Amino acid sequence: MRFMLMAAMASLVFTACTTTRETRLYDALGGAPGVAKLVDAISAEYRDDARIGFLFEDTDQDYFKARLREQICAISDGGCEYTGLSMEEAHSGMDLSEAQFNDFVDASRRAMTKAGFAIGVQNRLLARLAPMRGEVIHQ
Amino acid sequence: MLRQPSPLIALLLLPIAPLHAADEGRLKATGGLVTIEAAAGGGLVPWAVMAGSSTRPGVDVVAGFSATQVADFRLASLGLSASWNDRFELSLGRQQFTVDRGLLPAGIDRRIGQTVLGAKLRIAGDLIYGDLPQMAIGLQYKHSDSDVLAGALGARRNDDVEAYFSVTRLFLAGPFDRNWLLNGSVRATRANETGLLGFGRIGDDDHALVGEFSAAMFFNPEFAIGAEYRQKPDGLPGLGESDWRDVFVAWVPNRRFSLAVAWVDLGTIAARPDQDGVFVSMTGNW
Repeated sequence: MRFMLMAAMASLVFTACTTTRETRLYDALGGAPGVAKLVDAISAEYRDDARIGFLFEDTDQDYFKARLREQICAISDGGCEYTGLSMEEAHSGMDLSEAQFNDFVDASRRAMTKAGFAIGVQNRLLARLAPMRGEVIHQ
Repeated sequence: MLRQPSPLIALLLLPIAPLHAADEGRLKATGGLVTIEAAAGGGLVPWAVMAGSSTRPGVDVVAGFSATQVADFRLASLGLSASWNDRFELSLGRQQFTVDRGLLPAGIDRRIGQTVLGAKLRIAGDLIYGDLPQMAIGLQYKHSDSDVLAGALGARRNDDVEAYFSVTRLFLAGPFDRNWLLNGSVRATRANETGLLGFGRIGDDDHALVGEFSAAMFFNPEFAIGAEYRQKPDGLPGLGESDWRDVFVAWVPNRRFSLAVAWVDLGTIAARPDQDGVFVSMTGNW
């Protein structure tokens, strides 16, 4: 009985892993239309956020969204080339704190939830954005 | 009457927490819960995280209450924990262990209290970011009120200091594309039943190195399921002290409040076997 249970759990883990690993993140996000929807949601959420919205007062929204679409496409294996500033350059002079970075994470999660992205896809995208933290904060 | 803190104190304190909402800080759930020994962690096991959600610079104070009911015993614990700059944590815990009616002759106090004063220092790494997992060292000074009972059972003393080292990491998008928290701690201890039955024993006064482990999977940012295992020393002769384990569900609706419900298996306590039951824990922060 215990063996059966373990076998069932193992096969569950195996299937879950293979199904998710087979899906390119870019496709899981819904390809170009999905990424566009995601970026619209994220930029709106950032702009309206009480704590980080002020950082976007002078931002050219169209330019910002175009670069963010490229970047998300690039890091999700969608094959795009990111043509914007480096992360250090883009956040230079802002001196973002760790708390503000966390506000961005929270806002991104809210935006993705509102836009209907599943938790697993949210986690995968955030896992790929997380390594950039060092290039974003305290610049 | 500080010797026997009432659960009511915690219940009175906790609802205040959301009014003093910390509006910014770390991501929620990254402060863990207040453990039975007041340090931030899971239910039974301290983690390398700092209580609450302070970042640099910042101070955060957390209050927690837990209640454990197994076959023949109850354990209530109340903890206060403060952290500075996501670096250093001080905690104060008060536990009350109660033996169920009928197990002891009339006239003997069925309650044992213990005070735990803790300090924890984050020494390296980060819970989520960078190459290294978060690491911390901690000390816990424990004072058990059970000098007579513990002495009669063979314990050498009723207060002692324990040291531990914890490594904790949140893995983003692990199996099932879920975020997983893993913790491993090593503790040097001479405690009998975490100190409730004193420390050391006649004929063996060495510290034991014990391992304590937690694993949790976040279904989503609000709900996690997990398990813990806490190794314990051999204990007093004839009492059959066991390792402790639990399986829990945690609800973290925001940065200020969390609730965990667990099934705990405390094995044999004071020669009474099959001590499994329910554990409930609440943590709120300012």
